[in-house]
Amino acid sequence: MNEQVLKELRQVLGERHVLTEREDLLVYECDAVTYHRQVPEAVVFPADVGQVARVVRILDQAGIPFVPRGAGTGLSGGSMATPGSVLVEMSRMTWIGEPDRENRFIAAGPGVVNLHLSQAVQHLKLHFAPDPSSQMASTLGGNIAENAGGPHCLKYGTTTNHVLALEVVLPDGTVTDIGSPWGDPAGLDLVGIFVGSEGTFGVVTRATLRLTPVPQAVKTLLLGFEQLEDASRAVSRIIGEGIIPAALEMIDQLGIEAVEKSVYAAGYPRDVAAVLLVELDGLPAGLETLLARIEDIGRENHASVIRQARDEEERQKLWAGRKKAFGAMGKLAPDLIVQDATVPRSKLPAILREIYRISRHYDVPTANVFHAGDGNLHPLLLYDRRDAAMVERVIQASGEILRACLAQGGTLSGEHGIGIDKLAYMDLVFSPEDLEVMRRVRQVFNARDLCNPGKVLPTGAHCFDYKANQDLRPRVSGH
Amino acid sequence: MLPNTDQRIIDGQVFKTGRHPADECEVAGLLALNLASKEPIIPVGGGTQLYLGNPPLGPGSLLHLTELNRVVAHEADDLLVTVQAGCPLSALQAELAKARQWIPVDLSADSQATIGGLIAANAYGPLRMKYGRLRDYILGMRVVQADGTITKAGGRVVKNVTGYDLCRLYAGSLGWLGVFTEFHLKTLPMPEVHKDLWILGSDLRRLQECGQRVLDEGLDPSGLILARDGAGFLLAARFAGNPATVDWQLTRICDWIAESPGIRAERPSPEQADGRWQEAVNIACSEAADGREQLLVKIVAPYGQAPELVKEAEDFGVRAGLTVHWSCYAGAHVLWIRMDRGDGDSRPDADIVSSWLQQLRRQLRGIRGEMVLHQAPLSVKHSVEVWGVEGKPLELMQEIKRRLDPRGILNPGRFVGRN
Repeated sequence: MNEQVLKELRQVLGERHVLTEREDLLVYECDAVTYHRQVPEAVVFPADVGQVARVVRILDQAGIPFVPRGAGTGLSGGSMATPGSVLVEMSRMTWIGEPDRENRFIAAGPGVVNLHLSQAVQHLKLHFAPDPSSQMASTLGGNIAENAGGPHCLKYGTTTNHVLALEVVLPDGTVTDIGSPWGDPAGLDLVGIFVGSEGTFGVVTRATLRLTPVPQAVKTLLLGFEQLEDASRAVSRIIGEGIIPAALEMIDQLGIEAVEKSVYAAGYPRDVAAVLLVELDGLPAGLETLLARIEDIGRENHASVIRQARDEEERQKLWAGRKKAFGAMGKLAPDLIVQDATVPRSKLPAILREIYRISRHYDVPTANVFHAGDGNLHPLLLYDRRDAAMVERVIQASGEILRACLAQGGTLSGEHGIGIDKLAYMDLVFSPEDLEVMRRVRQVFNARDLCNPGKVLPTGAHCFDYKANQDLRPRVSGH
Repeated sequence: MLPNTDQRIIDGQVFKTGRHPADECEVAGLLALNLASKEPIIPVGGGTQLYLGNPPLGPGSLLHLTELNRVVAHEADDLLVTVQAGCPLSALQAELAKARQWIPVDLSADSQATIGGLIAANAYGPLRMKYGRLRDYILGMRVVQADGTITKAGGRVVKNVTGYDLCRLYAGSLGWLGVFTEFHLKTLPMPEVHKDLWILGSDLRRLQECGQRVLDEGLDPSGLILARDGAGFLLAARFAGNPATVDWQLTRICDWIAESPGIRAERPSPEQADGRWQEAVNIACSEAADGREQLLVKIVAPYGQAPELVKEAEDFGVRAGLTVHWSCYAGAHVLWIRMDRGDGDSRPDADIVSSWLQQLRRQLRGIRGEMVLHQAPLSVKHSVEVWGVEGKPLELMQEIKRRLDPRGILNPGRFVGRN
């Protein structure tokens, strides 16, 4: 990398906040999708908005691409380096402002861990509602970039519903404020288009976020079903009755097997095809009636297990099993591809049947641990990357599952983003004209395409050159 | 009834009534044909908020979407409805009600306002506090670009990070970025019951604090309105959900009101409640007025400042000889102020009005608030830009406009920065 540029970066940040040694850079070669790897040219750690702006300006002027990065827990390669790029790592920006209790918002730095924000305001009986399963590690900046979801977004909405205002450094180094703490700024919804832009529109340096009251009462129910169809039908019935639970998750038998083998063993029943984890929250009055109705629906759909969490400890255990399930898959296989396609709820029975059929056909063990309430699937394809033939089958199975989801009226990504992982499928969802509108909007923010290039939109002109990083793994998106 | 005229006059400019395309293809065709002449076009639904925006730069045509008025499909099990942009909101809600579902927005019962128009104008009522804005219910949409290209954005599912969230960019864009033809909207189950509670008193600050207490105690109102009530004031609180939850909350509030001197609680009948709620919402709706020239100002400021802002507005009204009506959507941080000439003959000085509005906008900026001038006489609109957006955010918005509508065909001059 250009020595002059490195010198300038070191001047702005200090020696120890600029990494260039290969053994340091290797740590940052991927996000949570280990399948895609790219070693960055450097990793830099700015401390505040002033440093972020100067760093971005230096890189912009030198024509060097850069990639904003939080905790690197992403599941689509969004914060993975691109060839020749510098990672702008936000983990030093962990300040949390004074909460505005009356008006229920707070400002915080992009490097704040999602769960830490909720912990910082829990004494006010408030929390930050978006709860991705990665929340113990993922940062606000990453949540904003990916419009993170989580089990409770069924009732509370995704990250975009909780971002009021942002201070961002645009890709040319300009600092600007968009949005409003009062939630409805005049003009175009710049915050709305920025959330979910996967780090391609600039770098968030301050987020003003909505705080939500912690529910006064919570009831968590575990329902076990011997037939998968019954579990899916129960999901439809619950929603069909007009009940919007706070969360409605499904874990299938293979998922349960992994969880129960791991340190997150939650006491899930073993002799079922799937469990539903249903959570109701709100004011205590009326919760019992709703709970009873859900239990009835369970029974009507032949639930073999109906169990309520007796206390907060048991509730946490049941949730830990679900939230840590992806990691628990390590008990069954060394490698994992997780998908994120979303289908309309009513298509769940059909798509699950199809996923299992594809799994059998390609002989790729596939678990399903997902947000049944909003149709956001997470098929987990287990494999061993040392088995090249298996890798090939996993790629095929993965593609077929995505196509099956699209055929059911679904979409490619419910919460993990497109990153580079799903680039090749974008033209199955959008026409060239649709993509052109997105390109034009992107050009407004990212005119020189230096900010996280090659992510979200297929470039068309050239494909991402995987060979540049010497890694001989085949591309996952197979074309 | 749609006005049966060959033209509409908007801030002194004539807009020909133009065409009523029957479907999306015709919309696309019309826009493509218009490329050569570059005649300004305003997409219009029910025309209930055509007055909204800076004065047009010149004459043009209206593009009526009222023939695209069908509910295409209501998939109740998926809480999803596909509806054309020109469908009146009232018709959409009636269809959804058959399956006990709704789009949770409380707007004037005006039956002409279309879903596309309401989305383009970012319209909402006090229920925004709990339910958010219409854009929070858009899962996907179809938009014809200024050059006639048919495009889509989003999808049919509630969780979607597939490409950029263009739906949020289109919502509230006042017909400036493209012509909406169809939406996939998320629906909600209708609440089992809804009940209002009225809290009455003579001290606006005390009532404002009551509203704050309702929020601080972790209660779950769907909307809160602060308004005048004769010589005194009213806090109307709406609760919705299952009867046990609703009644528990009402009882709880009545209990602590009973212990508070100077304020009292009332449980209106459903008719009284709905009527009073509608009255408060109608303050923000110009069509509800009898057409006299008026000022309609939307103030975005923290709810706690409402009493001071109301006093300022009422004091100004007295000085300027204007009658003031106002309605505060507590919790949504919005205060609507309507002023008209009342019975007097004298026309308030446009300069006096303009300079008050400018000063108000400056004052609000200091607390990151805003003043949007929803309606005003033309002379005032010439001095006071409607939207108040400036700086880098304005530049970004203008650049987005330039890239999507380079010829400046759609609703030119009326949106931010007089663009």
